[in-house]
Amino acid sequence: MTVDNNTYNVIFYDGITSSPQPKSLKIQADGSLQIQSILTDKINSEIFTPNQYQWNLPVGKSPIILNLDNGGLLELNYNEDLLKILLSKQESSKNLLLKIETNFKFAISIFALASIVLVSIYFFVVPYAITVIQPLVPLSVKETVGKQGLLVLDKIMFSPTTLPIERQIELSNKFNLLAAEAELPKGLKVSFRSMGKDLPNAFALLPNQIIVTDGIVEQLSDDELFGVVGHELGHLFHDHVTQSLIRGSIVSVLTFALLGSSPELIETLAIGAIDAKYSQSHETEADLFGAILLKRIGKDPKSLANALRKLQLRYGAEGGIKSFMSSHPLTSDRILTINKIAGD
Amino acid sequence: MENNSEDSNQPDNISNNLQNEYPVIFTGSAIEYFGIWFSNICLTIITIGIYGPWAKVRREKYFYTHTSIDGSSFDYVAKPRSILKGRIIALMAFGALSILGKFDIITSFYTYLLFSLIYPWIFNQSLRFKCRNTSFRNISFSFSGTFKKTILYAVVLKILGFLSLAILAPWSKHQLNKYTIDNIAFGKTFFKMGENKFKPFYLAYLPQLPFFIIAAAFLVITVRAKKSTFSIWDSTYLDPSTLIVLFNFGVVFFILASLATRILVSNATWDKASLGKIQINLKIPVKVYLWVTISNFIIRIFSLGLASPYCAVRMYRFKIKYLSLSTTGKLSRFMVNEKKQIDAYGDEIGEAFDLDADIGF
Repeated sequence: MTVDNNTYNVIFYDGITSSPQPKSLKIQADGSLQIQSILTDKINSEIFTPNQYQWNLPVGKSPIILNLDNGGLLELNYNEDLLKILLSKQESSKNLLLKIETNFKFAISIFALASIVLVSIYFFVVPYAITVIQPLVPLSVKETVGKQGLLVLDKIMFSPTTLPIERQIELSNKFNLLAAEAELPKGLKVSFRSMGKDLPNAFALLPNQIIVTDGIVEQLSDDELFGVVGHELGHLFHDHVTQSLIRGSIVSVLTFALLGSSPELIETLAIGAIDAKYSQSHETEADLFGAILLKRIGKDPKSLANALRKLQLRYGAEGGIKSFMSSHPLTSDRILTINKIAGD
Repeated sequence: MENNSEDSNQPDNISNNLQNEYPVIFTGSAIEYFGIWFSNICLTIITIGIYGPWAKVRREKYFYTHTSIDGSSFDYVAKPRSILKGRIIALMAFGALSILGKFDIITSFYTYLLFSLIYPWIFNQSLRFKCRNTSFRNISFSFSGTFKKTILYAVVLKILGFLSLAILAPWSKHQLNKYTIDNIAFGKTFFKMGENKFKPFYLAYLPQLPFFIIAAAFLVITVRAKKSTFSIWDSTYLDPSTLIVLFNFGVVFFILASLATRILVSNATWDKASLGKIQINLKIPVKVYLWVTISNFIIRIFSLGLASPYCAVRMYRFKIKYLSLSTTGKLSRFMVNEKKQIDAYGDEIGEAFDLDADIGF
């Protein structure tokens, strides 16, 4: 509360007990504080020069707190006039921060700057970092990732295949011919597994492994199966798994740097939505690779599109929020992309 | 200047005639906090996280300095530079473990186990830092727990709770919270947890009981069948899509049950706790808390996060409403203890891995 211009009623805490001591505070022309007790009749004032006290910019309209070098503390309710006086005698960083927090134009400016930084990170920094780091990942690390990935999947998801051994050999040979055409650097290892109630699926594992489930072998024709394997070969050729791991690592570290802690659920969802976009671009790239590969060996690229259509009819529609968060583009879009290659 | 240290250090015998009621008042508002929150985020992004510690101090200060008792506000007095040093170390640890977790799960698992050995240190340092940097009327709080005792209460008893198939889990939580509270002091005066038996803690864990039973059933079936749980259930009992839907519902209800437990534990911990002749009263209603939490989540989703400041203020104001102090004495009769500087490494590492002490409020 202002008693007169530049004189304020404050509460002093000496830092020894929690007893409040009412005092009056006067700000002198050079920024010094003159503190005087208002409970005693004696005029006994203390002076603190600007070097002998510190204060933090109030947050919103919080009390103004002045920390004295003798360990004492002055506290008074938010007072705009006092704040202006203190700011006029202090460094510019507090003025700038106050403007950023309260001035609309400043807020818009830093928002624009922050948006530029985020967009740059998304479109340039992360992709560039991936291209630099990807070639540096040793083959032994990729092999470890692949082995551990299969170990985990075997524990939680897969059962041994029920396909006859002759069928497994027949398909492995055909897939290896496809892989040779794809010029994979290290050949191809094909494994068969059963998943749930004949669930159709195919996985690419580092560095050169494809897992195919009994369900997908039984539900698709051989040509359609080649389309799916061609798609998985696309993931291996472009080393999408390594890219995803590097991207995930960069995003984890950046997220922590920005948040200072592990992300909450809502932040995880936001990161997941952004990550989904990257994944979707990988899927499109793999679809294109698979379609072109089929065309090269004289097969109809539409067999990949047919496979997707068949699986979509059997296992349900997509769209809405699910597609936003999905690691795969909409099946209809994928079919369009593949048919464009087929039509070329 | 009053100096009645004897008063404040007397063992408490809180009588039923508590004459002075001190509500805890929060004067913050969502509109006011929005500017601070917004500038915190933008400046942190622009500086790729370097401004983060300054943002943390601004955020904590906002809530602390707008919370007052008897006309005096709390303050968060941590130095951003100190937090920055701690955060750099935490970032290195987090980054290393995060990258390892993606490229070598097994080594990462063992590294986490090794890392968890320093959990008692993180627990202590995190609490010490938080307490030391919370002040009221220029007197700081402090935590004086020891490494050995933290191992006993935060690790050994927790493991015991787990090994007893959760039967002893509420009791071990009671013991941990009691140890923690009884070692927090305001100045020279120590808090003391109320004369609660551990019964309220058992009641607090009741919402989670159905999930423990289901988890135990899964464990037993898996061990007996010597197969992966997923392949048993989806091939024998349920359609996979039905299983996934049930699982998702289960996760949601478990989260809600955990939140209910958290608030009930918080009430049981702090209600009737004492600080000298002051009694703390805390009775947050669970149903309302769950409603505020769920509605906040929905609001944040639909506002794409822009309503986060509103939700934060709303939740904080809601909790504060149910907190008050009662006393026969005065808030002025506390004396300071020796102030020690505590670095922020433990606090930042604790926050990075969600290992910091959780005492409810």
